[in-house]
Amino acid sequence: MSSKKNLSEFTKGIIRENPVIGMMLGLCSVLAISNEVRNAIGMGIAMTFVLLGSNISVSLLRRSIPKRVRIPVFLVIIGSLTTIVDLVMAAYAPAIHRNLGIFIPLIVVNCIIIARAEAFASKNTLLAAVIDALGMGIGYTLVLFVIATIREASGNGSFLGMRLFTFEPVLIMVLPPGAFITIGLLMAVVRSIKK
Amino acid sequence: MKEIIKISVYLSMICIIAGISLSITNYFTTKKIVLQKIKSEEAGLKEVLPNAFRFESMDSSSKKGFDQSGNITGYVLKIRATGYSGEIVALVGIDRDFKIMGVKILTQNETPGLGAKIIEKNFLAQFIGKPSEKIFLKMDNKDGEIDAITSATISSRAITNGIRRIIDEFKEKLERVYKRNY
Repeated sequence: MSSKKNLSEFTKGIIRENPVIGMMLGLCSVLAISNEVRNAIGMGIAMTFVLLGSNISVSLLRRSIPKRVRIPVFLVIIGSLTTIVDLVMAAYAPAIHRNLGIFIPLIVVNCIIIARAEAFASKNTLLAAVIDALGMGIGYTLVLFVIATIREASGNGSFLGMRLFTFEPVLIMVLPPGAFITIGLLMAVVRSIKK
Repeated sequence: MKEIIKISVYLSMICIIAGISLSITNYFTTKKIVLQKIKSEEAGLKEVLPNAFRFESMDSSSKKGFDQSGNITGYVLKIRATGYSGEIVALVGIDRDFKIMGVKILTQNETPGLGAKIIEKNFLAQFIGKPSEKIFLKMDNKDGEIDAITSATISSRAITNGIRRIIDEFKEKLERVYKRNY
């Protein structure tokens, strides 16, 4: 595989096929977690790690997995990796772990990961799977970061907990409707640029 | 038939590997997780009862605090109140005259930007130094000295009433069970 192709596998996750604003996958956790930049970064890292681990395992096992039970196998792999991330975060980053709460265990059912396992890692080499996972993970984290920055700044007047403005913030932006509004606007902007 | 066996063996292998890696992770993180929990609990106790040096459990929801020479300096009580969206768990530290020394919210799921402001210093500082008779929202009782957070009356009321009730209950329990021999 040429390095040019590798680069394009990497960047596709960030812009062209971005899991959140391109393919609109895994929106549940994006909506819920994006009210604070700190949580967004924590979630992005956890997600990228699980994605990387699952893509690596699936790609290594791709020749041996029986076709008929591939989905259960993917789920066992993803479930174990998620539990590992959950335990490690509880041990070493308890504050973020407490904030992310239920959304870490819910990575198991996040469709981005199973989509990459099924659509990409099970058909490609280890290197390509790693590049794909990194691209998708970074793409996910970036979008989450942008949404969280917009929401935290406008809805709470702060960035990473640091005060930015003194005026009364637009409260609705940190509430659930703010998530829909921000994602919608972001999608519109990205699509109009892509055209 | 042959395929079924092959599939079952494969799935079992995958599950065994997953199980082993999970138990290894668990083995290495359990101790650390328990330590973190104890640490954050202790920090919370010290925060609400700053003059205590050592703590001792009385029952599931209350702890005695001692200073360095072993005198009781006060008590820490655990509150479970129902807020606007789910349970609020908090610690309140009181001195031997049942005046509030400090309040700390441990867990809450109130609305960010509204009810979630109950964790902020501006709100919690109002409780400090007050006896339970004054722990009412100003709008609820003329003796009340607590200002509710704007547009978050339910959350403010939940925590305020929770604190008052637990202190009153505790006072009564001390008199009844320990006959004030504490």
